[in-house]
Amino acid sequence: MTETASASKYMERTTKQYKYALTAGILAMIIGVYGVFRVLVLGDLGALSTEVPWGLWVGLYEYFVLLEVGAVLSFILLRYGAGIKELSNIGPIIMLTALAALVGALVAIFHDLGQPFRIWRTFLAPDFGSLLTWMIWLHLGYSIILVIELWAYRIGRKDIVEKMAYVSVPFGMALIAILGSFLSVAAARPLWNDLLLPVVYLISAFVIGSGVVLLQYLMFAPGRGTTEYGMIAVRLGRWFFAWILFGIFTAFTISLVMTYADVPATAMILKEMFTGEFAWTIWVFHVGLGIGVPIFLLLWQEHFESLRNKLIALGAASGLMVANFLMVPMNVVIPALAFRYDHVRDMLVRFDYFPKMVEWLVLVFVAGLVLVIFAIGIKLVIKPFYKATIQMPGISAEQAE
Amino acid sequence: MSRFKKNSEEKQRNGDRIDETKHQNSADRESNGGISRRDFFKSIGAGAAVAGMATSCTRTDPNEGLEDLEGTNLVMVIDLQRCTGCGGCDIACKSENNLREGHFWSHHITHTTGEFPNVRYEYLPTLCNHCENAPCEKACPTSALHKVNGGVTAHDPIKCIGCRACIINCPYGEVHAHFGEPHSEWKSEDELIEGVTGSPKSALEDTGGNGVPYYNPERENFGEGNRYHGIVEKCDFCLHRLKEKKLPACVKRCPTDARIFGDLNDPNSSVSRVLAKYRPFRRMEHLGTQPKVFYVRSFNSAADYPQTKGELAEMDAERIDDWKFSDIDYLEAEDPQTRNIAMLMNADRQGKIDHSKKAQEEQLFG
Ligand code: SF4
Ligand code: SF4
Repeated sequence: MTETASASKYMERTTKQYKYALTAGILAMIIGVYGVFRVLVLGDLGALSTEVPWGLWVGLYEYFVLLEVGAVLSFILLRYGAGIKELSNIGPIIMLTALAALVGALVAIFHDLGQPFRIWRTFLAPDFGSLLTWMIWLHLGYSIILVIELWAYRIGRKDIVEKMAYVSVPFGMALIAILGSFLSVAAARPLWNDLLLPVVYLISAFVIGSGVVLLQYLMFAPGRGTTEYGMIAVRLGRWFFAWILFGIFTAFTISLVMTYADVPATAMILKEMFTGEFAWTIWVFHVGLGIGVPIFLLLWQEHFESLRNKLIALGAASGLMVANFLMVPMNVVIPALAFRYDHVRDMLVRFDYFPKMVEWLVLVFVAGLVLVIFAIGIKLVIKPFYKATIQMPGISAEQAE
Repeated sequence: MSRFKKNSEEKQRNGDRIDETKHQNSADRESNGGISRRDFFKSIGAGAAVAGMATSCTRTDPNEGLEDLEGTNLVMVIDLQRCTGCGGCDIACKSENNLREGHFWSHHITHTTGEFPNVRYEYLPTLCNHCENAPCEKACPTSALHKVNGGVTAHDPIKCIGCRACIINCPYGEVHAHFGEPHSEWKSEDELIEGVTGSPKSALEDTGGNGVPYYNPERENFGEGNRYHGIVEKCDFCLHRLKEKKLPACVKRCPTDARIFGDLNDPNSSVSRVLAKYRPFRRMEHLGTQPKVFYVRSFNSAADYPQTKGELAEMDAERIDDWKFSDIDYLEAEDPQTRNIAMLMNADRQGKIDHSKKAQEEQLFG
């Protein structure tokens, strides 16, 4: 914490953020609740079918999992690996973001189940031969770790915070590994099979995670307006930029490998993805707004004189990337189901899928819920944490932890 | 003697009867998603209820009523030269299993290559392959998909949470999702031809069916008679019929005996003998799923027969001399094509492999 930071100003800002998050969250939940009703009471599963049995909700689930693990892994790598002590202050915010995303993931996938109220079977009579069971149980473990971590932040137990941070790493990695393997082991879906998703998802988690750390730092770290704050933000921006480049390299090389041999089961689907009817979702959201514009902003801000402008550019770059990252799991999940290569007829068979209103409504509801949980967390953990650490002017980040 | 037969005899010696009780007590069954929710809400809040749930998870013996299939390896062989592509199996399966609109547990793939007269038309009857290494079963988080005696991949609707991981993992597209109310199309009051035909609803009322004009209550003998919202369904080799010592409906109804069903562990069964005689293929063998549905004698296969150019090729009696045909005799017919077919049949009459339905039943059930 910087000496110049005004504790009361900071608390005022946090209160405002709490109110905004809560209001936006409740509004979104009100808008989306009709979708929840249709799914849970009337059994309306939108555009899903036998042919395309997973869609928007599974994509949303994967997005939140990448976010919840990526944010924590990136934070721990930077804070404890690289030893950037100034990041200590955003520790609880990162953990809270992860917990809110985790709840979002579970609620999204709950709606996707045909018989959601039988979910207890996976706890009371699980089949551990299934990767899905492992995913559910790992989520349970991961959520417990995050709750303990937040509780430790709230009561100021630095030792527990650090220990749980280390424990969360193998759990997070395992979650990503299972998330990727769950799709990649499906021999029935050559696209996933060839993608080596556990590795791709780990890199994706770091890309979105470093974006989340930057975004949350800019929004919540105390000391806004100070040079130190600006310097850290710029460093985080460069780290984020490096991960984006790494992500592009991975996606590019894998796509080249998959298309080189022209094996139709994967090459034809990729071609369809990049040039077909829904190619705009990739080019506009994924490549354009999610990668192109952030890269441009990240490079451009290096030439800005004003620190304020630099921070705005960094915020816009991370915000755009984090929001549009939703297209990554969507483009992994949906095309592999919507297109199937028929070996007998030597042709690509296409099944129609575009999310229906009910699916979008549930997405809005889940996003609202994530915001509400985040807001509640601000009140229960973040405010008490900062109250304790920045009450006295001059307290340093090191001391805060 | 097949193991099924041996088991039957042992059971009878012990004074046991094959248990024909329903696979699940109907009171335990959740007839639709709503009831399961109610059950769930009833159960929460009380520790005893949780214990009850735990018990319900383990109570059902998946092999209940299938004891006589223990030690068997049930497979199906489809003779593509006998198959006429009539689709009788598809229809038989639909009526037998009360399948809803758009669902086919027994289906087919067709493919045409080339232009007439150098044309090749393939008709491949398809169904769940009951893979030995079944990816659908591996993916299921609740063991709703599980193996039962005979190596049959069965589905327990009560355990199914509707995650559809099985659909994702089945390379053959043989698992079907149930969304919405089954057979709801039969509630429509729209007459097909106004003033001439009745409506689906009136047909249902006239027949008094359970959701469908023809409802087969025997299907309730294993699993659900009608599947409901949120779960999946698939072919189970008609386990409800096997429990009653009957062949699967598609096998029973095939008019040309193209489907041969039996125990691969019995070296004398028709399936074992046919597979020993003819080189079979299975769907997507490279995936390592070890399908238990085999195809023999690809129709018009260049590997087995010379290019036919639209006419019947010269028959190689060696290849078919022990193959069973029906007893129609057209050996003296004027039409050379008919004579050729008759020659095939005649050769077959000295047949060594009897794969009639009667023989199959005899081998499997004694
Ligand atoms: S064909 Fe599909 S549904 Fe049938 S056992 Fe194999 S993987 Fe399972
Ligand atoms: S949908 Fe049902 S049968 Fe299929 S994997 Fe999920 S729980 Fe198992």
